[in-house]
Amino acid sequence: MRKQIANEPFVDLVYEHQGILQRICSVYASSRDDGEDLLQDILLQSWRSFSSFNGQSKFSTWLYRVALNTALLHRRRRAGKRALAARSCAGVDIVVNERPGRDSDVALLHQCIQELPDVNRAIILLHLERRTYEEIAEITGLSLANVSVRLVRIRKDLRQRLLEKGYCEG
Amino acid sequence: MNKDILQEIWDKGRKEPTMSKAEIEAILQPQIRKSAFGWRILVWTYLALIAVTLVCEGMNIYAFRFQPAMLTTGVLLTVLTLVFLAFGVHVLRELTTIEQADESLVAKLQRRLDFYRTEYEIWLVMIALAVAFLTFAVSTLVDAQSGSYRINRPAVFVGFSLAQILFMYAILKIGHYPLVRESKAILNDLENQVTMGTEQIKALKRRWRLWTLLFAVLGIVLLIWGILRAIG
Repeated sequence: MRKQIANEPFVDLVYEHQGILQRICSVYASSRDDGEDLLQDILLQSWRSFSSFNGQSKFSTWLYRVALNTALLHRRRRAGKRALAARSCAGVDIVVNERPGRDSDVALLHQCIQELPDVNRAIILLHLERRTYEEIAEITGLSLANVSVRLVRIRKDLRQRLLEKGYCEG
Repeated sequence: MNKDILQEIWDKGRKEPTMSKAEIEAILQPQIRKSAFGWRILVWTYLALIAVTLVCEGMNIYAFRFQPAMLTTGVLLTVLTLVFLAFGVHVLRELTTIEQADESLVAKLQRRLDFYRTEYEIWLVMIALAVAFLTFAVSTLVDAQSGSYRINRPAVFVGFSLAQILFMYAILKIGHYPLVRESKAILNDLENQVTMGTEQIKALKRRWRLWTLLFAVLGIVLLIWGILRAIG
């Protein structure tokens, strides 16, 4: 199994898991341009780190680690690079604040998540992506207890923010 | 409202991925990749600087072979430069290892910070010294007169060299500081359940930008003043 994963071409694996990258970008990017920049950063960083992927954990877990690490330290790219990124990422659809029309609840939730501190964004993202507490702990390096305590707090915070922004249940 | 509502909204926002394999490959094109290698440029520039310094020092050793003081100085600086070269290669290897390490966020940040606090700090000093070595090697080479070299005002020379080293180190340190602070803040958030770290970093960045602007203005004013004095 390990050998099989290790031999998979990088592009094929990323293609299968691209949803992870898009959702991370949607949580960490402040605009569509920024999202494209971040996606480019994450892809490049993943490509450079791929040699370290030994198949001991799932590819998705590895990708979350690399992508979140990059997102947390993401630097805003210079405007000059944006044209290049836009061309390269023409098919990417990233949900960001500036496009709230598609679905107001979704946009509202994304807006609230983007207001959270960077680390909390990572934790709630993993949680909403249905990662287990064990996986979240493995990706972030936090203890299970810490993950659990934090999630309670973040969910409460998120609910509060949603209500303050006028979210109506039902 | 409960957790399922959050999950429900989140799931509603899920879309089928739309990026083709060709687009993924396009992002990984070499010319795009090249532009993202920030720290590598610094390391390779350093290694190139060391290479030029070694060439100049080699020429100096030959040019001053009959002047014992300069010969000793030249050999000493060459040995130190070779140590700097070895350390530069080590830094390159370490940074690559850190970048590629398959570790959790906490472990990776910790490893990065440990490196920044120790070896990277030493390396910054080495860069500053290497620039001073190069300046010295070039100036002695240019000013060599029939196999001899003389420092007319030693105090000024030492003062200028020290100022140059300190200035270079300060520039590198200032350029590197925000990244270290940011890494520390994220690690702090992760480890201590304190969520203020990254918030504070935003305020720090604003202050940092202000200081950078002030220094830039000061530099320009000094430059203009110097030009006016020279003209006058």
